[in-house]
Amino acid sequence: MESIRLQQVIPEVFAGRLPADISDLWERDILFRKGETYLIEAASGTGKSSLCSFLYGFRNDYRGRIRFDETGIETFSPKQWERIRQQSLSILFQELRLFPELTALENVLLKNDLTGYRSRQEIDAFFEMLDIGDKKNEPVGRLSLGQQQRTALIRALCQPFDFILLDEPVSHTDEENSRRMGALLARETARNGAGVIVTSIGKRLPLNYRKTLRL
Amino acid sequence: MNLLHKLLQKQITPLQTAGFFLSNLFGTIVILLGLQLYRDIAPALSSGASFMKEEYLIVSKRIEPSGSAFGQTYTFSPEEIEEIRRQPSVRDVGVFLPSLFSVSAGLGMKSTGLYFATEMFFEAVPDKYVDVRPDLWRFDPDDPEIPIVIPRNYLNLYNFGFAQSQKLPKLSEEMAGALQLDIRLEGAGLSETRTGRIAGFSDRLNTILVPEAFLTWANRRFAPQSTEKPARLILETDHAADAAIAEFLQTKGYEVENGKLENGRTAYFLRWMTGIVAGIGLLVCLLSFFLLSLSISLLLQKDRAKITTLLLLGYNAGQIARPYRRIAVVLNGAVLAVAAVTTLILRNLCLEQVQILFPQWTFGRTATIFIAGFGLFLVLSLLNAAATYRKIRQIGHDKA
Repeated sequence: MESIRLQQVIPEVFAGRLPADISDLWERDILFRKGETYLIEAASGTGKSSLCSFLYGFRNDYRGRIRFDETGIETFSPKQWERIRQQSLSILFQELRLFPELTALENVLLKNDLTGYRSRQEIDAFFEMLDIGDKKNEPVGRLSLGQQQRTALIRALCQPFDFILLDEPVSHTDEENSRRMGALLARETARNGAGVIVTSIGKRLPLNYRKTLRL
Repeated sequence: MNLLHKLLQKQITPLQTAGFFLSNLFGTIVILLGLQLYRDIAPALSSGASFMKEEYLIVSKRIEPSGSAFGQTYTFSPEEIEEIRRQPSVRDVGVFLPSLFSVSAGLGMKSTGLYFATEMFFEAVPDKYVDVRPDLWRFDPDDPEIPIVIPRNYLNLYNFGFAQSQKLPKLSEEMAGALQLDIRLEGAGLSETRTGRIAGFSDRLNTILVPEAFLTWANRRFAPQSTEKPARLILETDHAADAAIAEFLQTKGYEVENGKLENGRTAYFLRWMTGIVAGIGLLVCLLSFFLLSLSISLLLQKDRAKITTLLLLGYNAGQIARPYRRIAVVLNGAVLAVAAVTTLILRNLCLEQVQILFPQWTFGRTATIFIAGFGLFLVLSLLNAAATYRKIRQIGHDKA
């Protein structure tokens, strides 16, 4: 997947109610290219998580069209979404969607078992790099939100991807750890040449953004 | 996959599990036992007496109370026989030839004082109605041996009544066949002793059969003045349970003796009974299947958020269904195993009782319950799997 194109996309709830020129993204033609890093800044309630849901294919209450390369995503079958989510598109959910009863490591392995993408050494190294090496055998429910966000990032890296969506990845992370996350993400995307789309309502994941869009 | 199992392994509550297990077990046992007993008993009922072919009916006149006071006879006239012969589904009619002379039979050793003797009689039907090996069923005036077919009841009466109470050895059919009876024939001033040999046992005929050739010869020799008047007829029909023939016999006031019609009715009744029993079993199984489906459905509902996340992580419905499928298969498998064993035990208990009453019956194979049980297991598990898969797909749809 080389590009994600938004054509006049707007959440149904906003349709017809949005003042003109208030958003850089809604009801515009936007092209996200592989290899580029994008920041989407937004106040809360402007549809940032909705955008991620649309792009990840688990909500379709929008107007306009979204295309992966030239294909409209509304045509994808569950089978195709399954493949896309395993191989082309990764996500860090704002609500993280970790399983609190599993340990941090198990949460990561649950994804990696599916894709077989990372070795145990790589995964262990990720945990060390994000300073949660000593937490990986703790049930996720007992970790702080910041630690959970870092676990979710590791899980998001346990698959091949052309694009990665990060929905407020550092909202509960201190600066030092945000820097660590940014560094890890930059290293991995440099390796696989993926596109990065990060959303933020304040704290930014420190990365070298090519373009910032106001929602 | 282990992590997936760990994540979704929260079992159905023990109460639900027990409820499903017991109801499904009960239903399965009822079905299997019904089928197995049907398989066991149906052949015994339909085979009838081994010595006589199946499509034969034995017909006599009904004995009315005080009938003889009006001079009513219980024998068939040639005209009546002819009328029966003309019935469309009657292929042939044979008459029962009675013995017209006195017969007594003895068994044992006179020297030891252990000797039974009784007055008795013989009857004969044309040889073609008797299904005994031809080399065993013949008569030669110069050969002192006479083949005899006796009712199996006689043997049972001896084994379970007499032998039991007198602490005498029981006789198997083979042993009885090896016995030699002293047959004394008397009449017209003559007497003769011959040896009787039991050539077969009958369930359907309460009479003592000898070859027709022997009886014709003996009647002429020991009762030359009398003529035989048949009291019973044997009918060869196209189909013994035929309704037309039954109706004809009914209107003429003839009785079908202990024969195919009754067996046919019993078999029909048995089919109905087993049908109803198996039907109830199937109903119970269905209900328990819905119980399991409902439990799994509730479990899926409870795990809805997890399932949604797993789908978002890229797991497919089939993979997610696996732990739930395992619950269903393990439970259904356990039910099958316990039900099969219980059914076998119950069946053997039942058959032991039946065997005491009908020692000669040979029973069906037990393959039925394994085939039926496995079929049931397969169907239930597949239905469960399909329902689970659909439900997960639906959860995947709902989130969109």
